[in-house]
Amino acid sequence: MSEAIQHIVDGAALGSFYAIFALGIALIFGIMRLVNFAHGELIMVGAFAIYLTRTLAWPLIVLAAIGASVAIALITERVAFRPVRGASPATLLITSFAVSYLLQSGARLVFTSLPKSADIHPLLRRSFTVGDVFVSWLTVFTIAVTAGLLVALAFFLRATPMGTQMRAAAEDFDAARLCAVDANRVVAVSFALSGLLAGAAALLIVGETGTLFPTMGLTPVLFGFTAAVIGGMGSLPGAVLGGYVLGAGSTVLTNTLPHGVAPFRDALLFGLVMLVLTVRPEGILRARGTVTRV
Amino acid sequence: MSAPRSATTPLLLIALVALATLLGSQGPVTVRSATDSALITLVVVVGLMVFTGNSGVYSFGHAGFMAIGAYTAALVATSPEYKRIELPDLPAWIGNRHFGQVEAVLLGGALAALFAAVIATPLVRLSGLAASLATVALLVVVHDVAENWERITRGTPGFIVDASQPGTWKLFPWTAGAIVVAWLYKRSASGLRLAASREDPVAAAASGIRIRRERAVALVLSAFLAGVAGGLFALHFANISPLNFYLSVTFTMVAMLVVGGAESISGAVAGVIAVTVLLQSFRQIEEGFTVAGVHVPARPGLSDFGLAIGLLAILILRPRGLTGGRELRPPRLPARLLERPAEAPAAKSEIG
Repeated sequence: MSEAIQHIVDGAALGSFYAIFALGIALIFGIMRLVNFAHGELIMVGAFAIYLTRTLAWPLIVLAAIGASVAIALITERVAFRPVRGASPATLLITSFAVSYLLQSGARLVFTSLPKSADIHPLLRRSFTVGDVFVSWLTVFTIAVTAGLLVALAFFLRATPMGTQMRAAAEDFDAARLCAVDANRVVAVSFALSGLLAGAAALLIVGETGTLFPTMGLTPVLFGFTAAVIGGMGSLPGAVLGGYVLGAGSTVLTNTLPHGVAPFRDALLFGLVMLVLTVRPEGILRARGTVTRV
Repeated sequence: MSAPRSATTPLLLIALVALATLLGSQGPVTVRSATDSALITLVVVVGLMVFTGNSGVYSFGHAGFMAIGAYTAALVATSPEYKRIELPDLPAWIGNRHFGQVEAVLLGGALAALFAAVIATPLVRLSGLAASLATVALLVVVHDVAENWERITRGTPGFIVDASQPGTWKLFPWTAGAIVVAWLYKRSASGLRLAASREDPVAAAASGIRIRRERAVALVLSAFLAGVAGGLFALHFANISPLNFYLSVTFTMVAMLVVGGAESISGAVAGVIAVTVLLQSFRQIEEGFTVAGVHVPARPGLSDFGLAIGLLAILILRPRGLTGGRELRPPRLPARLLERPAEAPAAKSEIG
């Protein structure tokens, strides 16, 4: 029994990670049909901000990480994504690859590719046990931060004028513009929000692993994208659901796969993505406004 | 139809590649190595163009096809004695095989094509973004298998191929062949039907074109070329690891195609040459140099940075690439010399 609870706790923590990554990707996709592969690099930039401020008090580290990710998100939007807005999704995807590569090689130019280490707060490395279940403080923080961000984001989207405009733009960008929704502002705000999520993700990742390097954004973006696809591209509840499904799925696979197959877990997960895309391209929860009409 | 005139396109491109190869092979060792690498890359980028250029669906999975070709060619071209040391757990039916280089490369291409044929069924059902995302997933799957199937691939460290390395001019016929194959496909009925589906899928389907079937044909052919490129890579560089066929090479490949212009073979060739020259010049700066007594230190990452900037600039300023989707043609004679009616509308229909 306690083993099952342990797996549930681990799966929930992993799912929260994936949900945060997926939300950042789904948010941008919903508004401008851009799969932002550079989202991983926003996380990487946040992590390097943590590294640069590692000697300061932790509230300043948190501010630095989130501030850096938001700033880079806004800059990439202004410089790279705004000029190609409205291009085909494939062109947007390639643009985001280019931005991702640019930020990655930029980080290598400045910091070299050697891993760095940073410690946000010693508490994150401690843990406690409830009965036989082993819980680290990081797990508690991860789940709490994710829940907090989800509630705040839901409130923002449901109860503020800007949130309403964003939901309108996600459903039909052109119609929203006709109703005097400022396109540039909506896109900028959604990039800022995805930067905020990336900053939070950076804090949680560095809190867990303590290391950072220029290519660290790759794994989060691949899993976030997977979760977003499973849940339904562009649907925010779908992204969260996809994150937890993926977290649960990979925990189950890790613990049940026979020894010989276990190393191929990621191959199975991404094979599943291909399958989902083929059988149900709209994911579990279909986002409004993503179905092509002829 | 002006078939004879358009047949000059592959000949011109091959001549261009031959010229570039000749120039490159005279240079210092780094330039020679970049030239060999570009000849191999040309095969895969032309292969990528066969699918992406004609169908309009961007594939990010071709490095995976390349990996399949590379590992296949490496496994059959390495001598059995050497395999017993490097890969002791290899099944005997692979372990005892020993193929010549040409056969090994062709087998690599064939296996990649076979794999493409298997995954084509689900893949061609998807369009646009979903298809591109599925190819990203495909790339991750192939990479993960290459990294973890240690019995066959030796995992992350990769393995050294025990076969004599083909020289620059042994690579050249493969590149020339790839250009001819791509041109033949583009001019074929299937290629034209696929191009029609790229321009307007609804109208194409309404005209009776089976888009999925045409896409599958292009994907298999395109994967064959990518597999051949992988095989050439394995035998030429004699050292392969899963990281050789992952995101970095995918990015470079797609960048080359976009920079040159995805919709034409000339675009693929121009993209490879332009990006290779760009990367090579940045690499000289990257390694550090001394000018007039002032030492500029090495800056690792500079060439990738430059490539990303270049790609972004093309995407923003010239989204259809350097060639704009047109093919290289000899300059036209004035119409009055040809004594033919104005052929502007006919020429327009040939584009794409």
